[in-house]
Amino acid sequence: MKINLDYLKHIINLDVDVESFKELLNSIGIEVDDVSDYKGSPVLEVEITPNRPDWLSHYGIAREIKAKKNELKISSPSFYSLESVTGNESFSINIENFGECGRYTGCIVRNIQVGESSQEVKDLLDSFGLRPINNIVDISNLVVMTLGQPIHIFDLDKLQGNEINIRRGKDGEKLTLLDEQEVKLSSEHLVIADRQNPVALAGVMGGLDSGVTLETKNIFIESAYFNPSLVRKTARSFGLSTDASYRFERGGDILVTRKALEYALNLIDGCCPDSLNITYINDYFPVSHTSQIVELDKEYTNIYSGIQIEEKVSARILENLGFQLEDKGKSWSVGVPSYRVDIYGKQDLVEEITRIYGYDKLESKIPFVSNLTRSKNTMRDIAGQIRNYLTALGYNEVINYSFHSLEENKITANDQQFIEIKNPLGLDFSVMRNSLVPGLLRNTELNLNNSIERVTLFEIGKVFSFENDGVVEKDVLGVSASGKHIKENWNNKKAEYFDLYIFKSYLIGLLNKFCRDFHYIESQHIHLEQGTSFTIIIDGKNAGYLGELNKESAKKQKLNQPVFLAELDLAIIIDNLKENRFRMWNKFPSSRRDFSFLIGKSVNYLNLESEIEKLKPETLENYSLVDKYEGKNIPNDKVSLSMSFSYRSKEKTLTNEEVNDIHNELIKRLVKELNLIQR
Amino acid sequence: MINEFHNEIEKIKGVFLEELKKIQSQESLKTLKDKYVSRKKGILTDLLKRLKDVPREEKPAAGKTVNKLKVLIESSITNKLEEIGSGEKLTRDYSLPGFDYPQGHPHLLSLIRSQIEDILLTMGYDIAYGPEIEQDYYNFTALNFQKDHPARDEQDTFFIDGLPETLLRTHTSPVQIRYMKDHKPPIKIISPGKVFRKDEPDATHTPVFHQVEGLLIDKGITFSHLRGTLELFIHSFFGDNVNLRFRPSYFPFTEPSAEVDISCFLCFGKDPNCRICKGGGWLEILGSGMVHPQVLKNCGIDPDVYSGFAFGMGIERIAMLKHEVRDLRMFYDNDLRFVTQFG
Repeated sequence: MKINLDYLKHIINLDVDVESFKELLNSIGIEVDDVSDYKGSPVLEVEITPNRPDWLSHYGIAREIKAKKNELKISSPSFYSLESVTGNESFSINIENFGECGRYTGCIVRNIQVGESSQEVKDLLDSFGLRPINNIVDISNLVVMTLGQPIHIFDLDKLQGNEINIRRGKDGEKLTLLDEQEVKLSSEHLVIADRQNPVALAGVMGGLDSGVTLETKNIFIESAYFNPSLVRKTARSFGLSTDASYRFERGGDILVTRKALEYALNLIDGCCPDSLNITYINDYFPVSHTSQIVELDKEYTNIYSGIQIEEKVSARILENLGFQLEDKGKSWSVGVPSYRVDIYGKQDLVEEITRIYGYDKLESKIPFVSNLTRSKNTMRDIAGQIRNYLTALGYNEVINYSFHSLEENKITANDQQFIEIKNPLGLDFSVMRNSLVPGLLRNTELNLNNSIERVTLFEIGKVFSFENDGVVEKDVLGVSASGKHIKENWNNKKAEYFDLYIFKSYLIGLLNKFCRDFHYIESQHIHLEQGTSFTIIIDGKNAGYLGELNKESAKKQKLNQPVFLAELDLAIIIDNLKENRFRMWNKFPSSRRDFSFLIGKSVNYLNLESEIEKLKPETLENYSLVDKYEGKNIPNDKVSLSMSFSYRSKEKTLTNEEVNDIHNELIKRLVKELNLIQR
Repeated sequence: MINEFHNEIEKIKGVFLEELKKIQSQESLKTLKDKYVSRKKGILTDLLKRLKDVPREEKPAAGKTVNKLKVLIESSITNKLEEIGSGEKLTRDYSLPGFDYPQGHPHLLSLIRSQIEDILLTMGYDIAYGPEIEQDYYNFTALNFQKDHPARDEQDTFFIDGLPETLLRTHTSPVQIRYMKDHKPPIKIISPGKVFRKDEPDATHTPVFHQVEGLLIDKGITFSHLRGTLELFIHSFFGDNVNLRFRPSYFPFTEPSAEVDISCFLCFGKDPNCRICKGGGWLEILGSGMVHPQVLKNCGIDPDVYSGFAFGMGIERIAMLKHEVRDLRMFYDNDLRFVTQFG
């Protein structure tokens, strides 16, 4: 809302410059977004919180300032006196449901003169950001900006049948609004109708046909109170938000409708040469208003806020804000004014008192809380350790949105039911991600395009899927690498590019550091190159995978160099964390034996390893591959491998002969099982 | 005979020391070494061989003398080698640069989030987590957002297709509801995480961002406790020369509610052209308030016995202020030219 400071000064005798006015508004909870100048008058754009519709007018603002600055005076607006008006014209107002329209004040004025507003009024409206139209329409805008009550003025001669009906719309009914939009009505909508047709969306916008024009001679003025949520539903169903609906949906003041009408009449009187000819007036207020009462213990404010405020100061603040206080000794019965739709309980009153008294007077105290429970936060700890581990190894952390396009979800899974967003920002953001891979690929592409030679990334975040008809969220670590593993350098070193062995080493290193037991098996993934992909098994569970992005997916992502990917389920890692319990090392010496052999290319290393595991003698402490050779002097279908085995007993120092016996037996059996040729 | 032997040794020693003095290169040192200690024809080797001709009773003394010479020659050669060696090192330039080994960086949001969490953990808060796909009840209704109330417009919401009342959480407050329903007071938690609002991305909006929210419920908790807690937190994070300003505000789930500003940590309100506060002097940093009694009731906590406060802040907002990041979208572009500037 816009506040014209000079106009406000007509209402309250405020003598401040714009800077201190801004501070004043801030201190009572009205945030100033912008200050501008309109023909020498400061105009403040303020943000009104949705609980305070009573601030959406200059009088509402003045009331708050008066509460803060007790010495100021508010001057009452001028109202047209309806006392002598009889209004005997035959006309009727019918409300279908009092819950939907609690009060409807209407009157007919005949023989008015429609024309331009005075320059003063035009300027005022212009400063509020409202377009001047004609004197009558401008008056309705002036009323809302001054008192906060939206009123609507109809061209009486366009209404049929001397009646106004406040009812629900009917299927098949249509209405062309003032903004020339035609809307189709139904029983969802609250409308104002004449005998035949809807003529306005109640509390939202009038109809084009019944609007006031320069030809208008006779008018019907409406000042009413409509049900907030019904106005909201009606406005939203047509994507509308107007000055009227904005106020009604937040909650109007049921007691102000007649005063607003009298104020409007006074303004009309002021711009028409002849005295007003009011031929009908009806203030239809079927169920009288009872103000809400809140009991407030006089000490409660000080207890709850921790500030010491004198009783009489609290009372004065509430009264200045329009509350009615009845002293009950230890407490007050506080009557809530009709425009305060936000006050229900004593905590609300504490806010009112402390807010006006000043939040700056709040003391600082540190609460002491005993008997607290604490959890271990393993997820945070492990995620933090993994972050440290990977960054130390040269990987950079990325954070992507939790949603992306349907196509992106299909990179890693094509037969799944995806979790889709009903109202996405666009197709690029329409599906909850089922994998961290699409984000990593998008980030890889961007960075490779920026000529970054080593693009090594990781993300720790949630992925989403349907499982047994429920939504499942999993915490996942995603890792990717592309480009140079190690840069070339001046010491005659050539650049080394990532390949699956290098990438795998990082992942296995990470698993070795964090997990107590894991292995990996060959597997197939729709986004990974066949033969390069492995599923990681931890404690018998599928904990993720690693591999190289296949050509087809790479092409789709506009990537033209190898990208290596892994995803790991963090919950499974956390369930199988290394215990890091101390174990005494073996004090006996170990003996190493090497073994070189030819092995058929059809037997892969995982097969060899599992055979060794199967035949493993108790004293075989560990083994590793130390060399691999194929080519010259090696048959085409074979590879030459050299492995080293180290043996150690837990009980004694093994003699040379004992080691030889154990090693030779193992070799003999391996040779036999895997058709190895010893070299 | 024995004297002759001893004299010879003394002579060899003298010659050796003279020759050693003249040595300046590794090469000539090697020649010298060969001359004296070579296994085949070294002078020292020869002396040792001749020991066997020494009469039996004189052997120990002679052996001792030869050995002494041997130790002297060997250690002198070693020392000389070191001496010349360091000279040789000068021919290599060890001031040449080292190699660029890769260095990774955590995301700025992770850094800020950890800093915030670490302070609050130290202050005794526990961490609670909740789902990103949330139920309307936990995200709005239980937090005192009325159905069809404009307060809901402030948090434009993404809904999940085909699942009724299911949405992407618009704040991490639903975690507090879940926690309060599961735990009896006292409660002292923070809930960090991703949140979602339907905003088109621009320099100050992204549809995804991060929050850390705090909640404390116990007997006798007051509005002043909130101020004290936030003051402690802000001072730990930004420094104790930063001031706090509480402004009245509105959140459906707190009453009273306050917006908290801090004085500009760069210019302290003194520079009208300050690049952080733009001369305003104050920076909006978090929202807070006393937990609304209706929210406590919704979670089965009696508001006549317990009271508490809640506060919440945007991690991006704080990161932008502290590190002068001008465009919110940069956090999610994951351009390494951005990522690698931090941590």
